[in-house]
Amino acid sequence: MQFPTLSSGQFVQSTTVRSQPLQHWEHTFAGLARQTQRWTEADRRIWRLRFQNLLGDEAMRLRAFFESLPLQGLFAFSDPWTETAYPNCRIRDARIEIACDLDGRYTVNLEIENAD
Amino acid sequence: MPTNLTTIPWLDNGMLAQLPVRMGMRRIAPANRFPDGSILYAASDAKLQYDWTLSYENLNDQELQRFADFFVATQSASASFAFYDPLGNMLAHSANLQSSAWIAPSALVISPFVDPQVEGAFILTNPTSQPLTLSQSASVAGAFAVCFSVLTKWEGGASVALSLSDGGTTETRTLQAGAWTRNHVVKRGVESTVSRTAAIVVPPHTQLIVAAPQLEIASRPNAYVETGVHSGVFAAAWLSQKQIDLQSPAPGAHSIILHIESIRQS
Repeated sequence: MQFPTLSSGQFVQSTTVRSQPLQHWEHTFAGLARQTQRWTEADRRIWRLRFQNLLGDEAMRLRAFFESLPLQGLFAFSDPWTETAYPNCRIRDARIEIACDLDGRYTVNLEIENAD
Repeated sequence: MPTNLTTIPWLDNGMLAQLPVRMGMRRIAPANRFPDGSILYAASDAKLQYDWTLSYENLNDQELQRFADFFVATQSASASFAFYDPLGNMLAHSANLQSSAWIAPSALVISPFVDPQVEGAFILTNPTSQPLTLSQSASVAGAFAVCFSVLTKWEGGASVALSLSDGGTTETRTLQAGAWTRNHVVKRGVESTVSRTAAIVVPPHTQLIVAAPQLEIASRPNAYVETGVHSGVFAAAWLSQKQIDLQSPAPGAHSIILHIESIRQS
């Protein structure tokens, strides 16, 4: 699946924030003992998308995209900074937030993470 | 008929919500976590959880009483009620007019139409000498103002009518289709209304291209939401708060905030 574009033809607005978390896997064993292991993938990325002043059609395209995704559905997303294509991305926490303001303009918040 | 006799209250102007409206959607599924940390989701039981935050300001005494009665009817937020997504489309299968959700006589020919400007268009052909109707009903109860809109096109100009019925009376608007235009008809229901039927009436010996039909609680068309098997009608929603805080900054001007949730199969 392809992430939808805005009316401008862009995928994101300048409010987008990219983060690269340093994280560990934590293994829990049958005896409840725990062992942590460094995340070995160097290209772990999260993009925090904060769309503002969207037209209704743009917001509803993002909504329809989210609603059409299957559970843990993966889609292609390009890093806005480097234009590197990441074919296996997903919506982080499987959540999207949409708000319509007094002027009928929309705000949409979601986070995308590279699932590789 | 709605499966739920309790519905969200309407405002005096026929609307369901005041702007701003906030909503969230989260995809959820039962999950098992294994000792190695991996997670297995039960995809067959995946659901979409919806939540809305509706802020109401300057409600008059009559409107406030409606909300107070509503809170009592929900047994202080214990019981569910019918809810209509204020940012949604109350028609199902809005992108597939050949779906069984749409009612049409067999004589009305409905075919997909490839248009360079609008995706998901259909051409309606009425070869008979009688007007034919393509319609869909939605369980929308209460005195809401409902707007039915659809994109229409016929370069040579064609007559078409949009109608909206609440089971008692019907509002019809006749128009001339030309270039792509979103045309609409609005009808205010009454308290006893239980459903609405939206229809496109194709005159005899007429062809018409249509796309993106939408039924919503509004006084004019808003952004189109494409729907599949699920529409914006939620037969069972519930308040996620256990109390409603009624604020009255001035006599006869009240404000409240509702937090509403619902879940449906993904």
